[in-house]
Amino acid sequence: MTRGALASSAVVHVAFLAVVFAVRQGEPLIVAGPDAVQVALIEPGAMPRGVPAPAPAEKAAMKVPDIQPERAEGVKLVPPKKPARPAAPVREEAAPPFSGPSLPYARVGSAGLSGGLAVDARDFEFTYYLMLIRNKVAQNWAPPAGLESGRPVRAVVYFRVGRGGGVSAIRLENGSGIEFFDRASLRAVTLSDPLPPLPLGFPGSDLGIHFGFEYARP
Amino acid sequence: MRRLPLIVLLAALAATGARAQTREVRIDIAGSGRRMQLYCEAFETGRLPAGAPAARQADEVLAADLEQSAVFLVSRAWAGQPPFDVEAVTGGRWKVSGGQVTLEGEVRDFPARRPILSKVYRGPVADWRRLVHQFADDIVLQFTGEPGVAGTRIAFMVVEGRSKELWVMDLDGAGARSLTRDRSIALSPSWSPDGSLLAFSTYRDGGSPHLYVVPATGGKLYPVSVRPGLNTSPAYSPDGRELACTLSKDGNSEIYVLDARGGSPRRLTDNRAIDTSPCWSPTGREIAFTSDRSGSPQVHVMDRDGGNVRRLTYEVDYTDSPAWSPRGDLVAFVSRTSMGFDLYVCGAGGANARLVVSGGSNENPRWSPDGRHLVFASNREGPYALFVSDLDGRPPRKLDTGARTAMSPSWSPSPSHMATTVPTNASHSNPGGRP
Amino acid sequence: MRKTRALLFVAALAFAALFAAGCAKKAAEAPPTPPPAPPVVQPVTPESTPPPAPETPVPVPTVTAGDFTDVFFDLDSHALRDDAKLALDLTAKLLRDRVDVNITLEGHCDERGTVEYNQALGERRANAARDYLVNAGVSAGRIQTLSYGKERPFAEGHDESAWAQNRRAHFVLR
Repeated sequence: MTRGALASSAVVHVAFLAVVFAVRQGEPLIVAGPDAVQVALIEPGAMPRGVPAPAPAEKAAMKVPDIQPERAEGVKLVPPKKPARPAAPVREEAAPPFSGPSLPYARVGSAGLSGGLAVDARDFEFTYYLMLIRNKVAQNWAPPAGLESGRPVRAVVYFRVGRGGGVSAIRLENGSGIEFFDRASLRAVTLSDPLPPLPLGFPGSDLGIHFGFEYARP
Repeated sequence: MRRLPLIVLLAALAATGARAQTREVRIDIAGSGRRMQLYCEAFETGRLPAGAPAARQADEVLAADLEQSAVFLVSRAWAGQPPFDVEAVTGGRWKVSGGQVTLEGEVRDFPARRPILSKVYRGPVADWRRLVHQFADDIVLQFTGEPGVAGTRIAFMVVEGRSKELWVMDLDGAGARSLTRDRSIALSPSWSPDGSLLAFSTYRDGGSPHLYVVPATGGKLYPVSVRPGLNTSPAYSPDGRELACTLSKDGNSEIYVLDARGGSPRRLTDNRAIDTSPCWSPTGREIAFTSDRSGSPQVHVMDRDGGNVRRLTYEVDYTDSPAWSPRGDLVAFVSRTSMGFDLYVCGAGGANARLVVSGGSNENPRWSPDGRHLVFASNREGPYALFVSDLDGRPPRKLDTGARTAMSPSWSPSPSHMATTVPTNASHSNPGGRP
Repeated sequence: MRKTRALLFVAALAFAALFAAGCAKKAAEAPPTPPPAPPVVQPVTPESTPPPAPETPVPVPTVTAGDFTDVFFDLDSHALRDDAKLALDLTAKLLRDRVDVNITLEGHCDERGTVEYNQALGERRANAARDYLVNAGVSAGRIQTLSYGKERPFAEGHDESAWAQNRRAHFVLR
């Protein structure tokens, strides 16, 4: 890979992003809310190969924010039970609106696993730290048995990291609809406690993380 | 083979609103296996008193510590290497005055140089290496959540003619000193969990080998088990209250557990086979050991009361010298070949045995306290010497024992902080010492 | 002149008395010396007598290490081969004839086991040889055993000829 190719690629992506963001009217990174699905800080085209390109503005994936992944048997609520079913992986984040930067999905850890995360703090600029979290949590994730080959499933786990790296407030934010997949994702976060300490230059007392697990069994 | 990270710079534009921010993000294609790139800048220093350790020495000790951690790839500013593609920079200030050295250590991200870690370390000049090791271990802690092992020590046997004496040195080879001068044969060192004592087996009394204990900083030898027959292979329990060992006082080589003073022997194995080389699990609830009850030596596991004995793994034959990782997840052991011994690890349940070191004969594996590294003795490069494997497929690196023939290593626990660490006002990072 | 003679006589008497007393004291101090000497105290001579020599009135040839044949073993084994048993039969006879001789049996191994396993295997080898001798009529108290594992090899090489030399039970006169 030559630097020239990279540079021109970067220019193209920057231009594309500029257009996208200009349209988005000033929210520099993530727009939350029921109608918004664009999450990634980085334009999907700029992401490492192997990560499935997200379908933008997936209306069918709209969710009521505080839905619980457990199925309420017998209650035929329409959309929320099956958000993970559509083949196109959904890149939206629901629930607590967040305003911080994120790392896009990238292949990490086990084969077939992609991890991506976003944080709550608006001005958290330490990308190295986000990468550390993504790598550590992904390493602690083990593929559950019984998943169909080739069908992507996705869950988002929310947790908070204290200054010393202690993990707390772990909960499933968006379930995949598959209980053992959700449990594997929660477990990966639990096993990653403690995470590395927060960088000195971050002034907050803790950091909220939305960690997305996306898995397509190879 | 490393893959270059793909760097994408983008500027997020805000048409309206005050929150326009520039983000610089690195995307790492290669994923979790990649080591973080650190750039070491020389410590700033004013005039140093004559005879004071030079800041450049401290720079080199820090860079070497960070490299051996197996967490980072390190480049050095003072060696003329440019900060290409690095994620963070280390540096700070180095001051010596009044017999005290002060290290103000800093880590910043790159290129923005936002602060990640800032800590002050102070201690007597004679202890300057320990301060640098602490800074290195705090850097590892900052980036992994667990402290590094730069401040640990290695106990080992030095072969001197027909004798083997017990020695201790820093992990980087400094401060090597002998703890015995018996002109006898000393074997099988085992650190107490607080790092203050070493138990070992020795022929110094003229007959069968006996178990002794010596302070790790040197001093008198205390007999712990001088029972008839063999007294070998001592192993402190994780809580330091008990010593597992091999005794043959009852006519056969069996595993016993003694209290820390060597009394109250509790017998764990009871069969006609040779049972030896006990090794505790990090929880203290299980003991791995070697037994030839099936005909040839194989590593077995039993509960701490001797029950529930099972063979560790069937995937490898002739296994011996178990070592249980402090993380609890892996057991290292040796397997005999025509050349000598190869090193293996497998899961604590016995699955997924894999070869980690071969070539020459490689014996007596022992884990580092963070479970990242294995130290062992090998004749792969000539006379027996100590090597460390990071279990990442790269060739093991040799430890510096000063050209002494070295065998039977044992890795100390993590050091407690002995120099003063003074958190600066701005420091929000963990004061360290995370268990 | 008579007075001095009388004085001299008294002095001589006194001297003799002192001398006798001194001897008695010394004789009284003689018994506590350590060697398990016969319980008889000879008060006559001031020095203690050395313990009596062994009973045999006939001078005997000295037993040396060369009179013992070490016993060799197969890899990983403490079983006595036929050649080992032959050597032990000869040794047993020697020890039965010479009850004054006590021995230590050292167990040794070649380098192809671990340090600690070999310490145990060496003990097995020494015990195997000892048990054979005891079965052949030698009293167990005369045989001490000790294992050096692979720590004191006889041959330093790294091939079968060296290894075969090192797998042995070795006799040492005590």
